[in-house]
Amino acid sequence: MLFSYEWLKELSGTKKSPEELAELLLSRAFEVEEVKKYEHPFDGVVVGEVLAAEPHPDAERLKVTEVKVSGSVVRSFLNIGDGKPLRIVCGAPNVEAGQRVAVALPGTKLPNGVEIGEAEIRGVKSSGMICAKDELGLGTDHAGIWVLPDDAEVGAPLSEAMRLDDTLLDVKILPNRGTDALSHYGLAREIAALEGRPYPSEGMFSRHTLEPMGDGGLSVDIEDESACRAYSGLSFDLADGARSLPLPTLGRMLMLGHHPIHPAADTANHLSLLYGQPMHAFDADKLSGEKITVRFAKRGEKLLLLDDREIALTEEDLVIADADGPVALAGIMGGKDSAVSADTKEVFFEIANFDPATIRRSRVRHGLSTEAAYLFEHGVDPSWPEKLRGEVVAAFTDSLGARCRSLVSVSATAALKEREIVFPFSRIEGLLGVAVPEEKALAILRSLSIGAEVRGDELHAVVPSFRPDLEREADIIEEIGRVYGYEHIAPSAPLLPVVARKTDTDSSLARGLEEYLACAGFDEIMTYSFYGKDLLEESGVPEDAHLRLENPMNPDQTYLRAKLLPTVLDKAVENMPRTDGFRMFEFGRVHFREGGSVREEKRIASALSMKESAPGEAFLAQKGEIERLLAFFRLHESVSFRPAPEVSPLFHPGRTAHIMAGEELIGVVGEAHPSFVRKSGARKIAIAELSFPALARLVGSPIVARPIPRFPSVSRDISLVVPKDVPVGELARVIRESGAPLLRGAEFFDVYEKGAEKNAAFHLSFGADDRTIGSEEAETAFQGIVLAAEKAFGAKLLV
Amino acid sequence: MHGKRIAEIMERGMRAFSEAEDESVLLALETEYTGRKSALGEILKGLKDLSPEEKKEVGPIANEARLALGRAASAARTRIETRKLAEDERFDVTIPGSAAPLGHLHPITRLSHEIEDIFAGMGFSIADGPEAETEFYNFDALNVPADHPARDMQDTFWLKQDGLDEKYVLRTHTSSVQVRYMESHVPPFRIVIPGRIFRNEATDASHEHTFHQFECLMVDEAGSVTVAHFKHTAETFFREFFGRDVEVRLRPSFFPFTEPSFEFDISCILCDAKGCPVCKKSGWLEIGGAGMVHQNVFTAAGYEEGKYQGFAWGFGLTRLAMMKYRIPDIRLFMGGDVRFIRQF
Repeated sequence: MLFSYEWLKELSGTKKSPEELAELLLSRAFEVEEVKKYEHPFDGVVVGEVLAAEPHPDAERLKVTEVKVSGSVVRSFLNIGDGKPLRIVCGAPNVEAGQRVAVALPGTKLPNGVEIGEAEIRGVKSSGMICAKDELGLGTDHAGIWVLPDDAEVGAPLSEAMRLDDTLLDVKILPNRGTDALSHYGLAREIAALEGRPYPSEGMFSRHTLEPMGDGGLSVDIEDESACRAYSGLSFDLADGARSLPLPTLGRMLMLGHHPIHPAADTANHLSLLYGQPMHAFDADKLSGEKITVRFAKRGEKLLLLDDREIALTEEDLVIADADGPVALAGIMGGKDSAVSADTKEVFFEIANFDPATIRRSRVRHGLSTEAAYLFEHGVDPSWPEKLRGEVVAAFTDSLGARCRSLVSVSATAALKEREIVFPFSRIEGLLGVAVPEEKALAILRSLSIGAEVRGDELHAVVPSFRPDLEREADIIEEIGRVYGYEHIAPSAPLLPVVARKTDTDSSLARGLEEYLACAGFDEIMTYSFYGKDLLEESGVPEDAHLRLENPMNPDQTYLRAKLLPTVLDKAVENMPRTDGFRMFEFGRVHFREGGSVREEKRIASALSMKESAPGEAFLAQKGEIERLLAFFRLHESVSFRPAPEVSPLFHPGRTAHIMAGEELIGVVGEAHPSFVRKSGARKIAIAELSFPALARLVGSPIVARPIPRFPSVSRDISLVVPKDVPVGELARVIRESGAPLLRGAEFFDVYEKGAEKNAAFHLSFGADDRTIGSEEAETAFQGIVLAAEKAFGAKLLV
Repeated sequence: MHGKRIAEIMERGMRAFSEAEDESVLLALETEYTGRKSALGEILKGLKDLSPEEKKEVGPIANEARLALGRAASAARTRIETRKLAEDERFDVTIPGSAAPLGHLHPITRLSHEIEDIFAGMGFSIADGPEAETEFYNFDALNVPADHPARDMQDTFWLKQDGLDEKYVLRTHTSSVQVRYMESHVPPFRIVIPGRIFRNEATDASHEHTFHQFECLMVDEAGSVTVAHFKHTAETFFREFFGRDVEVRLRPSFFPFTEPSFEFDISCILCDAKGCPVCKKSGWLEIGGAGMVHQNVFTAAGYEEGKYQGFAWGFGLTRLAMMKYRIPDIRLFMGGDVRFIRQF
């Protein structure tokens, strides 16, 4: 929220500079995001007095005025003699002799970009311009010139008369401090407390008399006291027309982003900036019936808001209603039809307190964002509607010249109960780790308007209505700690019992895999957890198994990814032109739905790109790395690869394998579908995705060391011709099984396809643990293998 | 008589061996000085004919000479071979090695491992939780009720209800793991939670909807783990992490799940807190949020109110990585460009 430094200074009595104040707030209360000198747009605009306003001799609608603008600034600006009035031709219908007005001197550039000079208008020389509000950037009012209050000093620069020499502080009021600090009055109270100075007591609010001058005002009926906790309604008679607010007040509002609208609405805004209590002014003549009701809207009711939007109300929207229906969306925005205007003769002025959650839901439902809603959402002090009546009456009668006809008030008795918090004084040190002296702690609390005393070992704290955030012991200790200063807490080493650190096996396996893959040449990437329709199709997972985001910002965030590979392959393809070849992996999570529940699983996906000199090289490299990884972590024993009967659109249908642990599918490895690499010539991409929990479940058999073989092996190569569709993996299995017990190893080294057949070759080694075997014995075992392969696959030995 | 002769042979032989420059010369010298038929060989052979006194005098000298010449021959051989290897078989050893290309961990992973190790050294365990989290663990259990303005502090990705049995979000912070962990553990405990988190906001050079955080939680009985202990833990961590003394500054803040709550800054490590563009001339770097765990969080986990206390703090891993590695654009993290990853 933006704060005026001068206003805070006036209220709090601080002697600090804006920067010093920002520093104090930062360390003790709130971050100040910006300290910025206010730059006013009114160079060359001064206060003038209209001495005479005569009809233009040659134009019916124009007037020729004599305007006194004497003063030192004017002299230096214009180089004109003191006391010599300016002759200005003016077209405004409301210009009259005796008025104080804003005069743009010749040579001035106005906020709206118009440059003011000297001109002849229908034969009369005119120097400068008498400004309307819109010409000064003060809203859109162009009904006539802006008539300033009579006490404005003639000749003074407008910026001085409006006291615009000020510095603005953008203070980040914490969300739990909205009730007490989202106002100049409240932040000034905080500043005084931080500086250890007393703040004007709440007693100041009873200084005004509250005697209505007439009767016949509206009565108020509150239907739901939990939604509307307090309400004051004041009726003012503006029969003689309302005077504008004093220039310094308008100046402050201008700096804080409020343009003058109507004196009654301006008063509401001004008091809101001061006290953090939103208020609303209705045109009483536009309200029908004798009472207004605060109630929830009825089905089918509509309301045309001040911003010209018509909203359909729901039964959860709290409204202010007259006899005909809703006239305002409570606490958020007034209705267009009951708004005050230049013609308003009587004002009904509302100071109310609404339930934060009700306001928040309504605001969100209708997509509205107003200052009033912001304040109510953060909770407004429920004592204000009663206390601020005097301030409002004073503002209307003293500044606007209105008469108070009547007032009604419903006060928030339940919400005003003071809260007492009691806890052992020793808890302060117990939580903060620093001993705050008793007098110091009590002084801090009292400076924050928290009643505090120590009885026995206990601290009793009484919390005022404007600090609803203080609910318990820790809240009170926080107040003491922050004002005492966190820099006074000396770091000290925690003394905790020695406990065994639990090594989470999942996270150590995860870390091992990441490091292993990096050493194996894979670069680790991270990709988004969601994707759009295109990648969903590629995943091969049906749409209804996907989880959807309710509020994506773009179509690529429609679904939570059910597989890692779509986004990983997407990045792989992007990387093709950047590098000759790559290996990459992602260790991430996928999400999918299983009935009514959300399933989350960690996965490892990898992509590898290389220029192939023979088909299948990229695939075999990818598969080889998986085998090596599994072997390194001793998870390979139960894992096998099977031709995948069906594949997602990501994979080459003829070059993809399912990775099986026994009969459980734990991953897929294959060549990426040719459509992804069509433009890349001999460069291919091979991809794989593995389930991490499945890997984590695999347990290697315990290691039992065997002696180094004492007797030598006999080596033989075997080359078998089998039908093309016999998997080498199956052939290897048969060789291993039939070679026992003498077969020590069978290592695949070549395969060659020709016609309907293929020729697969293995290095074999035979041996025994208790003797050196002879060549006949090896030959017998060899023939046994040939026989078994022939029986299983019709294999023939290639000689 | 023999002694003088042996000395002469020694002198000549030693010089000859030290000057030998190739293998054939060396072989000839070996025949001449150390062979059976060499002058020294003859002397050694003749020892048996000498008188015992002469034998006693000449024997050791002759043997010593034989051994010395043998050593000189072998030194000459080593010298000749070394020169031959160094000259004839030399190649350019500055040619780059030919190992298989090395892969690279993502900077977030690298940093995460580093941080886990520091905390592990302080006795912290690593905990984990889901990224698609229930509204309960992400908000309600952390004292962030529905319709509370605190929900606006984080822009949230919600999952479509679509018949799900609970309301889910993509977790907006790793704090969502706090109550999950508490439900299955009893204090005292010390845990860290690294992880991916999500905020529904537009992406630019300094904003990402997907980034990484680190959470740290230490809980024990009431009165035991204090703000002073938090300060110490944070300072110790950052000293280890940056390899130098770092000052921690706490400022008042608000988080619904801690009370008191702090923003915490560390003294700027880039400019020694003198003021630089990175710390916006303040001398301090905003690192994260922290506080003493709110009792409502403990009760949401089923703990008895007031029985335990502890601190929780979280900081942006992504932000720390940007600072540590001077990464100018946050989008690089999730961009998947190997030219970026290969720098780590």
